Amino acid sequence: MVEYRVGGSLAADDPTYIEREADRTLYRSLIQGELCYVLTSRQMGKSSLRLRTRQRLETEGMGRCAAIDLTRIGSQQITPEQWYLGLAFDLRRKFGLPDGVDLPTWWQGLGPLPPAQKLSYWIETVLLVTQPDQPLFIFLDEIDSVKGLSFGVGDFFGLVRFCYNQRAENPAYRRLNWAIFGVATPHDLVTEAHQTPFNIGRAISLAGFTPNEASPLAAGLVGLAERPEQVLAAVLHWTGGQPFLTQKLCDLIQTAHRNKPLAAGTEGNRVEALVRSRLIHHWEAQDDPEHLRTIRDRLVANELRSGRLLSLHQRILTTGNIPADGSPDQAELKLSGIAIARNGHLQIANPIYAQVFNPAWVNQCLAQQRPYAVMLQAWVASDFQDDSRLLMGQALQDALHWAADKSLSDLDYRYLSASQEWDAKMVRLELEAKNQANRMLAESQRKANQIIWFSYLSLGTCLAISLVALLISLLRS
Amino acid sequence: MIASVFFPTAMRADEALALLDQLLPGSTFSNLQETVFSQVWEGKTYAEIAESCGYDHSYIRDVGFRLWQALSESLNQKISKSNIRAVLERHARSQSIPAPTLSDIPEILVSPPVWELPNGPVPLQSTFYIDRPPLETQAKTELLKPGSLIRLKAPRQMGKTSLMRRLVAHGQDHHMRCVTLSLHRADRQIFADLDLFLRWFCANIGHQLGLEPDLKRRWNGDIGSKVSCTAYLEDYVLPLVDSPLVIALDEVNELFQYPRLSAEFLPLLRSWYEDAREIEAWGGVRWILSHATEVYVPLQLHQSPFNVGLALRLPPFTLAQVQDLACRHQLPWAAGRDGAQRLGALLQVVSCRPGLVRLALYALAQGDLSLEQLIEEAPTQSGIYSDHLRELLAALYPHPDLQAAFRYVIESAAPVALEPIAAYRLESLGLITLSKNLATPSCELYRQYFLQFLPPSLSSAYG
Repeated sequence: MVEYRVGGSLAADDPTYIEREADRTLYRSLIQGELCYVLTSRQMGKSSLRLRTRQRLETEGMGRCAAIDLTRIGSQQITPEQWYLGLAFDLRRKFGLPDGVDLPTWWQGLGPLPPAQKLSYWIETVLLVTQPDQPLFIFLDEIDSVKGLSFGVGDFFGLVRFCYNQRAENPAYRRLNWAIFGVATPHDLVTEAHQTPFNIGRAISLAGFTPNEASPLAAGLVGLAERPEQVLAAVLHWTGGQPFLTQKLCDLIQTAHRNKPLAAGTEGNRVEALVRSRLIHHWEAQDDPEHLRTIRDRLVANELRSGRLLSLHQRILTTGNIPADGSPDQAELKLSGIAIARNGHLQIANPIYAQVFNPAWVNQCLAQQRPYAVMLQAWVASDFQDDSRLLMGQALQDALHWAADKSLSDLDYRYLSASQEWDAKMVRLELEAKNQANRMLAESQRKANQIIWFSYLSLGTCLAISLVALLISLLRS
Repeated sequence: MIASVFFPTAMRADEALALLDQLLPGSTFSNLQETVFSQVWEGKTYAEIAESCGYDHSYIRDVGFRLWQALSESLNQKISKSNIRAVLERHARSQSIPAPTLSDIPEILVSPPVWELPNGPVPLQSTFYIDRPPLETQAKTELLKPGSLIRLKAPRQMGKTSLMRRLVAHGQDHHMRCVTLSLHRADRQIFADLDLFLRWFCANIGHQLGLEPDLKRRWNGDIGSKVSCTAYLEDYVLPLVDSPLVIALDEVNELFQYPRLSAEFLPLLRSWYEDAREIEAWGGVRWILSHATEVYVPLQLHQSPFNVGLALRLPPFTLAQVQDLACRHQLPWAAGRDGAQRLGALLQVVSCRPGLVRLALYALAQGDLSLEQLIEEAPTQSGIYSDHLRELLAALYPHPDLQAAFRYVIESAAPVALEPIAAYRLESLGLITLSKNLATPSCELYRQYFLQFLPPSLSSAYG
């Protein structure tokens, strides 16, 4: 019985491994000496592709391979010196170089050179020299993990690029080939144009399974259904060929129909029932191994970006597709896996994602993110009566700015427009109050002046009287 | 209430549909009927269903009405939206295996068993270990596959460690070398530093395999701890082990409290697991991980070992299993329908949590107190659970935030939402059950005890 594999990478001989266009392109490009990179979303089969390609290169005698998982080299505390040396150490082990000279001692012997240069020197004088006759393939997996290091590794990408540029001058470098795998955009990884190897390499795109490619998967459904191909077609309709979901759904069918074969004509309904009850319904609880939650996290985890990603997703949901413009937000949406580019447009990758991350879900997320959540809650709690809970001034402007590119719930709009009214009213009242105050001020000033004049007058009169009295008394004496 | 005690894991809609298929062979439901059925099962109203499917409210109500009518006719009893759950669950119960009676008990058990103190994991040879099919067989089959990974997830007192020990023993029976690392036994300070932790990890594995750890010579800080650790295992330990190796990590959730360490170690673990497909040395390694709660550390890049392998959630006992265990404790009154009723009163207090049930049955078997007495005294300082409860209280004591969160849970009549980290920590203590991110006390015993003994909260975020 064919066992489907839900999560993790597939062994090179797994019967459910589906060969795709990318398998052929990657293999061909690598043996032609091209720098290849496969940057795509999670659980698309990158690691399985790497494994399979590596095995094919080795069995067909194309050269030696070393696969380096970069999460395993770096850590937050690691220093650049340790990272580069760790990389060299791992390459040495993976290529099975003889244990001759102690690598750390050799490394320290180079003195105060920058570590990237030491690695480069090691590649040229040790790696390429001890493996003189055959091509070498270095597979770097989880490349995005370099973003978690405490230092930049632009120099490392510069080194990869250097290896290709050196080919004209030093033929030994023609034997050295790199393939890079990860969940990132080239721009995420390296910003300096002179360091990036990505513009001289070949991007290998990894799409979902097409119905033709996926047909071997039907083997696992034989005996469970009268028409396995129809069942598989129904599966692909729901998963859009997304590898993880496709394997998972096939596995669910295997379990559910082990003892009661799927009758002809019921395929669509039965598959739909499973999708609804086991994938979509309460998806957060049923999502094991984690898949949908990864997508969710990618959409909502980054507070600064999440609002924009959600509103972009919302637009695709409502309009069906939007023109692809290559913007960083669109790239991020594609990396999350939720959207794919087809014919110059971005669309939701499959109906399962569209049902899980549906408009109601988006609204819920936006509701949690609204910058005025606390105030809104208090306003609702006051039965929409407590005007002091409305937004004013800068807070209102910020909220309107945040809301501008989103379609929000009626409650949000009710709150925002009540706030706008309230804000306008307050501005008006404030103005009136100011005028009133000014009037009062003028009036009181006038009164004060009157009083002052009156006091002067009385003072003068008093003075005059006392003067007269003084004169009289003087005259009398 | 009784029904929910009997079926702590409520029947899912697809299970209910499967049961209907069984009860009514030959009947077919339309797509829409199934949708309506499933959603009603989940407690949705017709209006909500109508909205989610995009149909008119009255149409959905009509579909529902006809569905109940059809079901009433075929099952020969009045069925409606409100009683469908009860009816089907009753059917499920009557179909499930009848509770064992005294005559079913293996003979060896009828002779007085050797009593063992019911704290901690159930000893390997114990007659008091109850299988929860298909859990044990599933795990044992998986363990025999090269490069496999088994995750046992359940709160405390659910039998994780007992099962893990059985798996390890099963591995030994199949000539595997086994290493068990209990993370709660490690010194706190080793969790503070990745290098220290990885050295501890390697030294322990080496030690348990009878190898000279030799870390001084074999550890090389210059190449980073993770590379060093991998090289140590790959170049030194694994080549010296000539049979398959089982590495069992108990209480992995201890790590979750140290997010920085988790973010380094867990991805490393995952990558070793993945290496089984590529590097021969790792192909012979089998992993068993047990954890009491979901991983709540935001793992960078989702390089999580909790996303692969065979995941097994340890369910609470079924009533039949509790009765089985009672029989093994020589408590004949617990058998049959009447026994179920009497046990029901106990299970209302302690749920079907294996650890708590076992303690109660042990106490009853000793004959010192009656069931009624036991239940009455359970949540008090003099009850049989007092040590266990005091331990939990002590675990909460240094954490006012957890106290406040738990107080909020036990004082609320309905499930409540908690701040996620607090929720996960309470879940890993086994105090609460999380469903759709809402927390409820995991059993009545805890609610009653902690209402009395948890210090009153001064101020809390859960006002």
